[in-house]
Amino acid sequence: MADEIRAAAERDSSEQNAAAHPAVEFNSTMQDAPMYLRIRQALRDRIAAGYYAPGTMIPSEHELAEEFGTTRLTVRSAVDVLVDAGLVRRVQGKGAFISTAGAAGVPSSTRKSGFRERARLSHAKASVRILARSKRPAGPYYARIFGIEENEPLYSVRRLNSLDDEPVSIEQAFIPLRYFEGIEDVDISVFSLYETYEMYGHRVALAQEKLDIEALSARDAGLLNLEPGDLALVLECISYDQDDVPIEYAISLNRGDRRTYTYRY
Amino acid sequence: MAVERSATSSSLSMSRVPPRDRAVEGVRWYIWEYGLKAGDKLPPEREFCEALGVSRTALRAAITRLESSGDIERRHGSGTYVGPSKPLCVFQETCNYTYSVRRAGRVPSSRVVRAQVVAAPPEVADEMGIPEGSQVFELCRIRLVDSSPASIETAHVNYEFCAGIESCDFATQSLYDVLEETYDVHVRHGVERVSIARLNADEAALLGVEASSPAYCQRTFESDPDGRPIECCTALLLPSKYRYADNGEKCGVQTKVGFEWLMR
Repeated sequence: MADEIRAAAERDSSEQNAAAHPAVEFNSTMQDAPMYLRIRQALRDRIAAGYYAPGTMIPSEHELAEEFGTTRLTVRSAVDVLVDAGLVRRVQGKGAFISTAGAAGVPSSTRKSGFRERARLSHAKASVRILARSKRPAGPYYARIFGIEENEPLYSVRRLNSLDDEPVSIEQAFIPLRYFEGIEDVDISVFSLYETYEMYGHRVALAQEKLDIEALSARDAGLLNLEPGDLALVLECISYDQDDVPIEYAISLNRGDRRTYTYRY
Repeated sequence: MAVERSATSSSLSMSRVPPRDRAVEGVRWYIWEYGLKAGDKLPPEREFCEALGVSRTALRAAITRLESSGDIERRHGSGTYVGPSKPLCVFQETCNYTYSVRRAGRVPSSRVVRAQVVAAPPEVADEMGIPEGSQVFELCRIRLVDSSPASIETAHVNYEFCAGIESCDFATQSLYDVLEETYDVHVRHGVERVSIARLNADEAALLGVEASSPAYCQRTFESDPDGRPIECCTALLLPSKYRYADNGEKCGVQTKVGFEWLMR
């Protein structure tokens, strides 16, 4: 998949300023190709050129059909291929989202597993509810953790993670905005945070965790369907990218009866 | 304002950090920034408030919060101090009790509660994959940090590989050393599971805490290089005395990244 992206990016680099010309023209060699292939190539080129930003929605089938002077069915079959290739993700009731970063993307390899990846391995249905999102100054403590200035903004997301519709953890993540300009616009109920970082060219290469135990407050217990004072396993985690730069600090409260920390050697 | 927000979500405006959170972060920063160690004294309240730019109310709330997590200690009539350093087990770097305690600059010791040969209880036989009722050496010890109880550890060792081991004194000797040196048994592979539990009355009494206090429950199963089952062990550890971390590296690798954060 990454090779395809790079190839598409190279094709584009011959045309200077591809992003400045939104309606990327069909390659001349594509003129005689079937319509769905031509649409597919045009979409690929736009993704590679960064015209469709990572994590954002592409135009509806209706709009694309109009633009290319064809039917919605043809557009759908063109998009299907991009979905299969992992460049686009369809979300029921929402639309189709760009799930790759075009030329800026980093080939995914031994990525660390976040909540959703762990869920996938355990064959459970994962869902994430966003409880709160905010932007705040790093302050001295997080500035020290991230090696940034105290007044630099952090994006903060608090969410409730569920497995098979049962809440299992409350997680709060802090992310320095200097690496992820515009991350507020990515629909993180569609993309995991790790996927989003990767779209920005920061692949999580190392995640370190510290464990602790805490009694739940009434508010947190309610969210997890537990009683106040019940115990939670606290995981404090810093994620580092491929260049050992810390890009996320997260603290999660995990239902003690649902999470065992397993280490094999 | 409302219109602006609905137009685009990137108009998320910078919000203020709640005073207590700011004070908690401030205290943590202060300890880190000035390299304070266990037992070092924190500045008097008024001075500390000024240094962190927080109110007295916020600082007091933060102190209460950090005291409950053991980061700091209040000594009556004397002030506020950095809490004692907790031994840290990093999964990748041998989860060895004695080593972890020594690395934290504290003194490990053990008290033997039981050391006997018994018929393997069903759950032990099941975990080790040996016939129920096979002979196992059961070693139950209280582990101490600076002569204060920190954990109850109950190990079951496959007696097939260590006949006569019950005559050793495990108050002073390491179980692994005896297995390696006397019996030429080497533990290589295993799985460690850490979960949380509440102590029952007996366990709490052995550890000198109140019944139903929280504890880590660490279950370990280990085999030798040929995959033969050697030992399984259940330990209950007080979170006020011990902690765990995962450095994200491969087994046996000490991390070069984030070391400072991980160890503190």
